[in-house]
Amino acid sequence: MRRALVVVDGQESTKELVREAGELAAGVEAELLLLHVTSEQEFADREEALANIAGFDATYGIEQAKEGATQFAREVGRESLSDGVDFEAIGRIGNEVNEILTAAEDRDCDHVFVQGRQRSPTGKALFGDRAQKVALDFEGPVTILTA
Amino acid sequence: MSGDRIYPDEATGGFAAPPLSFEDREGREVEIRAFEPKELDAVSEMYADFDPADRAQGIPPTGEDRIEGWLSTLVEEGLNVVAWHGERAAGHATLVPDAENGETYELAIFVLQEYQEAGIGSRMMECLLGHGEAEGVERVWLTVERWNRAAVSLYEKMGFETSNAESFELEMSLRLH
Repeated sequence: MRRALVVVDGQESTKELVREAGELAAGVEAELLLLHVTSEQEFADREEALANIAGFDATYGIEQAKEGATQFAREVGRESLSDGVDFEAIGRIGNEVNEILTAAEDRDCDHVFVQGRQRSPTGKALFGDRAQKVALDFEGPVTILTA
Repeated sequence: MSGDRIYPDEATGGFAAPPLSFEDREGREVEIRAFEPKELDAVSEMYADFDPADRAQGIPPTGEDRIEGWLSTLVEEGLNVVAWHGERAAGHATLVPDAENGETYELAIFVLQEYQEAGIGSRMMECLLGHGEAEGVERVWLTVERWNRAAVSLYEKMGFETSNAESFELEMSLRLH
């Protein structure tokens, strides 16, 4: 492992994934990239909500949304990793699985870490197809945390 | 969880909307009504009494705080019906919209242990789907553990069809309109 990509989402369990990946990466002196993907739907909802606020005249577009996603990944990294652990935060907009695979390829990552369990709207813990799709389509090892 | 979930072509409609009163198989008078905010405490109490052995896929959560947090999401975002035995909540069923599009709803149903196998679950399903139908819900999905034959049979009886059998959990769906 030279460069690891860790998928950061909005669930509490994401911090444990980042911690685990951080320790493994530190052990082999690999680079650590933390990625958060904002879906197109989330982006559109946000854009619409902001446009409806009277007097809100700042612009909100793709760049702001990417910066927001990057900021989110950075904050999760700071909260989860001990001081002095270096990492880079990345934010992307689009279909989560596609963006994970594209980011991994663009940045030449050789290992992906993703949380396997996801919460359904009613709160059920589901294995989810994100991890499954990433594991099938990424050409390299994928570590799936299912705790 | 996926955006490309499969739904039956044919709509299964005509479900009875709440309220619905009946005598269950144990001779208890049960009434199913749409949830009202003032009933939150009574429903929380039902979950406090819930046998952990009957939890499935991590819900209901355990512990007062977690139950309250989880329940508040369901009642704020979803459509809910509650089965009452007098003042006591005997069961609760919910339809919660998917965050991704808000057009499809996930279904979950819970019956307190001592009220199970008395015909309450199927009537609650009926009322919940009737409630959803009246509120304009078009598509409903759920997941169920494969071994849970009783639940799968109940869902099939209501018109649900298996839409994905590849994952660990069986996914089923139904079209209301």
